[in-house]
Amino acid sequence: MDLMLNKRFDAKENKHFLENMHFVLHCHHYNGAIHRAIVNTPFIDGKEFIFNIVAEDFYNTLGTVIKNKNITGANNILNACSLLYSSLGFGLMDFSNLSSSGGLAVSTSSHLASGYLAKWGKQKAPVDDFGRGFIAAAWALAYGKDYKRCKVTQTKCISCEDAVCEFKLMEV
Amino acid sequence: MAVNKNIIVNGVSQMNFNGNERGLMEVFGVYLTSGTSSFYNNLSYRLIRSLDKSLIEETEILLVNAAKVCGYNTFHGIQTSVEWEGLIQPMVENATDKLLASVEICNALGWVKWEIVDINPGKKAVFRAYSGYEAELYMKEYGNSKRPVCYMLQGVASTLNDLSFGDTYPSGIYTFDTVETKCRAKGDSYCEFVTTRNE
Repeated sequence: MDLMLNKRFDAKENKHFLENMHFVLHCHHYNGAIHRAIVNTPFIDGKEFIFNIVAEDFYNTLGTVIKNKNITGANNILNACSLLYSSLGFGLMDFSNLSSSGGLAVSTSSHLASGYLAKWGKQKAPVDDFGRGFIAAAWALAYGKDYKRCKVTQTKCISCEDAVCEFKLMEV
Repeated sequence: MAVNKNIIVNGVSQMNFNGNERGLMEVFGVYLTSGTSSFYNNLSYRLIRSLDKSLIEETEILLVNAAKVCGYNTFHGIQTSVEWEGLIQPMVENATDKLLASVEICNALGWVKWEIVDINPGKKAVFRAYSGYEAELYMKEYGNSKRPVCYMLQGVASTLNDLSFGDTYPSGIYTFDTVETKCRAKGDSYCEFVTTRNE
């Protein structure tokens, strides 16, 4: 499947657009630093804060692409989500063990987890909250669910020197 | 040869920013992602707005520092990349050229439309931004702000000067600091960043 995304750069405003949504490029240093800053902020649950924002944003972004490209059917939608995720540089995500009731998603390559490992060494706990939010959004779109009504737990992480990032999704 | 803004912006903005077979975007010696501007803004502004007012200033410092760490490492990667060597290095004759060329890279990455309007090389630089995703989306979401809100640009303005006029990488970080003296989110007609060397 090729999503044939409509990409353009507006030289007047210096903005990149993908399917008419404004996108900006950031590196693993920024993504890692801002993730770490939020997770370490006192008085909030930083990981859930990030998860919710990522899920909401990907739900809107993926939803726009799926609508624009007229993609239907759960498997096709999940494939399209995976393609967009990798196209945007976040890594690889395999949804083959995910169903409408939940299941597993596996990432063999992760921008955030690899960035953490490179910058700060082996981590004691999983860090890929971008992946968690993305999985919630893709699952909700594929199966007509509410992304706020699922729990995504990361059980393995490349930043912990596991071979893959593994995520368990449960509907709640 | 002077720094040619159009060559840099056109050359960099038209690069192939797509994930490779591993779903990673390896460009300029760093790994990039392409995320919506609303995603990054929501991370910053919802964080600030979720905290007690007494923590706002400290949190702003954290967000600016994230951008400093990013800007310093990313632009070091950019300035030592094959892409820089081929496209930009022939235009760079001195440290000020390096700074001006780096500003155009920022313009090509989709962050901002900015320029340097005043410079005393190695001591002070004044950046002016006429567009930029932080102030624009802040206003759209929350209306006017009492405080400047362009945390990412504040950090990056400092580090571009660090890399041009500070000590050799990696010890030159935090040589410069930046104050956002005007911000469109406050009702100003542009955002302005005054970067000075720390004494």
